[in-house]
Amino acid sequence: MLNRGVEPDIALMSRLAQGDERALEELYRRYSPSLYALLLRMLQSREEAEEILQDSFVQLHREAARYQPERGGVTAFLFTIGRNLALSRLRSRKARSQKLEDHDLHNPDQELGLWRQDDPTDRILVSRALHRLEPTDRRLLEEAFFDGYSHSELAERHHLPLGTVKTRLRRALLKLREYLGGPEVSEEA
Amino acid sequence: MKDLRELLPDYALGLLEGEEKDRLEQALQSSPELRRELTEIREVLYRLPKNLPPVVPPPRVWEQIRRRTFPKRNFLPWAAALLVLLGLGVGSWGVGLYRQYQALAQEQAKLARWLADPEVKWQPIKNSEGQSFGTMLWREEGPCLMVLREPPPPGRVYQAWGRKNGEEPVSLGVFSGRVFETDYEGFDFMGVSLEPPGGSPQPTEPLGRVPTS
Repeated sequence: MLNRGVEPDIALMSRLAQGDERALEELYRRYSPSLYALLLRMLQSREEAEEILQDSFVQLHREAARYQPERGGVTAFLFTIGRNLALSRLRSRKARSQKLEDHDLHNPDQELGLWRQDDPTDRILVSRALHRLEPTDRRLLEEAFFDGYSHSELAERHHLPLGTVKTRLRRALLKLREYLGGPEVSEEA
Repeated sequence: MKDLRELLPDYALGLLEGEEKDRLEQALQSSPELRRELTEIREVLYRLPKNLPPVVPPPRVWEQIRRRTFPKRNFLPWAAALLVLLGLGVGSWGVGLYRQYQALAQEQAKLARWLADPEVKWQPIKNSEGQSFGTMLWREEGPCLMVLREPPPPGRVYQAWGRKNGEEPVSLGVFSGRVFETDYEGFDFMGVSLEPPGGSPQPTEPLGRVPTS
């Protein structure tokens, strides 16, 4: 949620498309902490997360002129770039990394920078919406989104038929849309 | 259209492949309705990372992004910094400075880290005639960086020394480039000498020194 008087993302993208370095810097300031957190979660490697974060913003700069606001917000545009790059990296690996411990990921002594205290409202909304999903559906969605598992990998991990995995994933995402978009969730928060 | 709509969640998750993916992407080109729905699904999907505590990346990531996206503008601050650091404030040195800039490419990362710190202080390293031949940057807590104007002559190395008042100098290491990182804590002076490869037990050709307080 931006404060009044703060330049909107769309205006920053427009300036970036015209080659304004400060616009990229501001977008980086706004979104790098959450994108970096996502990449750390997905890749379980600081080195690779830094590399993909770098590539994501370079690609954002390159594709700024192609950005169309009517096709979605800047966050979704940027995070789609970052997640797709991370997915390619995950799929090119022969084996998945061991999961890093949370304290490793968030320890400021390990060159990860400082914590940033964000407005927790959205986090609470998302967390509540996720917990309203049926537990298996939630795990399938989280493993598909954060870990990049394919349908067949999910089927094997959860001992479910492939068709069931597909159905449950679609259901989870549509339910999440309903919970996050509907007035009921907002009232709960 | 209905079956294509059902593919949208998988597509947004990056799970769609092959013929289904091609068919959906083709339909997305011509269907504003499908595009709108995909946009909505993506907006929801990319709220999931909100569930993770944000982590500020290390400063080096932004430095690299800026170098890759706006490379020409990056040269200017570096040139300015090196002008200060290497004491080459005269315009006629411009071309030479550019060559030095290229030669120092590998040492820039180290310099960049130091220059990015607003707490860093610096002073020239002077020879016995009072001429500056390098710069020492330091932080209050002890670490320091020696930046010399020229690399050592062929067949020689630089050797860094720390010295307490009234005591013999202590070797802090040898280096063949122009930049050397060490620690000044516990010493009253920091110095540099020219030595044969491998260094010497005591300075044989002292070049100059810097008081640490």
